[in-house]
Amino acid sequence: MPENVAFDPVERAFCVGSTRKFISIRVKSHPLQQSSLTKSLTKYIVWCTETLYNLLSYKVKQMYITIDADDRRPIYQQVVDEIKSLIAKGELREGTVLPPVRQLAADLGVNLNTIATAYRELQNEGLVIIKHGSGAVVTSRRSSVSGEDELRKPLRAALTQLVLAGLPRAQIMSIVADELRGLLKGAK
Amino acid sequence: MRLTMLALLFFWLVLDVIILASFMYMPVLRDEEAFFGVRVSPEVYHGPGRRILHRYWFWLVVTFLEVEAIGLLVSIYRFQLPYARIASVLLLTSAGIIFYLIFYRQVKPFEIVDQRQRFASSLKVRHLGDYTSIALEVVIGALTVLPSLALIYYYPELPGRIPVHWNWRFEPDRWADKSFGTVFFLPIIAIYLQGLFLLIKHGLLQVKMTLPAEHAEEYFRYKEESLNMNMKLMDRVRILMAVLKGTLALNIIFSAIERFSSLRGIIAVTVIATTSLLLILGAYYGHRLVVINRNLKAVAGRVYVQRETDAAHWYGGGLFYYNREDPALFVEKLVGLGYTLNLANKRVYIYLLYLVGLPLLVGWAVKSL
Repeated sequence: MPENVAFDPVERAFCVGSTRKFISIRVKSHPLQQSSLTKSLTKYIVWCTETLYNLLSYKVKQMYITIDADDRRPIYQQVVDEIKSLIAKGELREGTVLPPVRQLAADLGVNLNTIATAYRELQNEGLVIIKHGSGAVVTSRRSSVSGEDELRKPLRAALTQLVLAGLPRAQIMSIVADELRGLLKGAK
Repeated sequence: MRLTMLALLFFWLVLDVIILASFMYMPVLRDEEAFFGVRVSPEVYHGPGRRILHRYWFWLVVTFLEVEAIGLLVSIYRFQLPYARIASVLLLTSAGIIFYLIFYRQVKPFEIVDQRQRFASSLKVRHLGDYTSIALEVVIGALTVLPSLALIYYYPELPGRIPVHWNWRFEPDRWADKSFGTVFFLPIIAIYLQGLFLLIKHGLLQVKMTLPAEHAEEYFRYKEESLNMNMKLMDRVRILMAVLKGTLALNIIFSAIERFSSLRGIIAVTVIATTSLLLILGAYYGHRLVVINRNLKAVAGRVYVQRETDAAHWYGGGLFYYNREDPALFVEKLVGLGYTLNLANKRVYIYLLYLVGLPLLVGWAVKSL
């Protein structure tokens, strides 16, 4: 098996070439491993066909980050937040290589330093590691920011915004639940 | 002689018509997104814009007819100067640029700023390795190097005078003294061109790919398709160029050494086949780009996506891009199909210095002929 192929037990999928494209090939668990050998042969044939079909029609998942010139956050912060969100959702897996600074800066039409600062910020939080030659690699899904008070701060700020916007408590709760569901979907 | 003359006249006429058509359609290729390189409202584009365009077309056509009439007269009375017609190409191109700039200044006051401020970028890493086939590289390398080896091997056998130019019937019509320059000119040009196409391929990989935030996924799919196509085009052009230049280099051996005369037919067939394939490839590529642009327009409502800060750095009606803040080397042309260089990027000099090599090489070859 090539070194960049790994089996993800949570997703029940092989992740191929996580550095460039994320290809997940779902493989159902082998019927013969689950139960006795008396399981019908047809199930085995179905499994083989399904696996072959999934292998042939693999899915290439693309990821995007968005920046908004009207946003009050600086652009580097927007890049950090977008990448963090993808890591939290489990879309950017450990070992994934982020695009080179030059490529991302050119695509977004921003200065090289903006992206370099964003990557450094992600490194400071322990989410990526910047390797010479191979670029920034996602290393962890756990941010090194600890201390409950520090973690609460941005939440409090966001909630304050929602309260000031005049939203009722129920709607705020539903927004929070909605966002959390989106984030935890891939994280499990 | 007369037939050759007519063929040449026809060739120059076709070339001039292509130049005329390019200048005529350049301002409207991206509709109101880049009308003379300027973003205008649809009302302006279909109203006063049309009148400006028709005036521009009128002056282009009048100039074309004048240049062709003079060119025809010169060709009739000066048979011995078929290459003098190259002046018509230069005249038409410079006239086209001047008219384009004049009418761009008339469109400029109607410019509007794109209000959309949200942009996306794909996190997919673009590697040259993903667009490279080792087998193909080996074949191209072999096709480039083997003819030179054959020339080195047969060099002592070549006569003192060797053919350096062939007419359209593939008969040698110009000869020169045997020397390093006359014999190895074609293989050296072949290696030079391979290098140039590789440099372009490498540059294209770093092309700026700004996506609209609203339709990032669909937009990216078409942009990827476009990039893949460009990479494949470069590969196909490289292999066809390797075959063409290799064949032409072997032609020296086949034309000069009698026992290889039976192989001359192969040369003619290969040259005609590769040249036609190159032309077909060019036409197909242009057609595909137009189709992709149409799809992009259908998906995102616009073809050209750029930040407002970048849009302000196009000069000469979208002919030149100079943006110090932009780290991109290649950017998509604002007017026309394909790509252009960000002239503020220092790496542009690598390309420019390499391109300077072409006239130097040709100069050296002409001197040695």
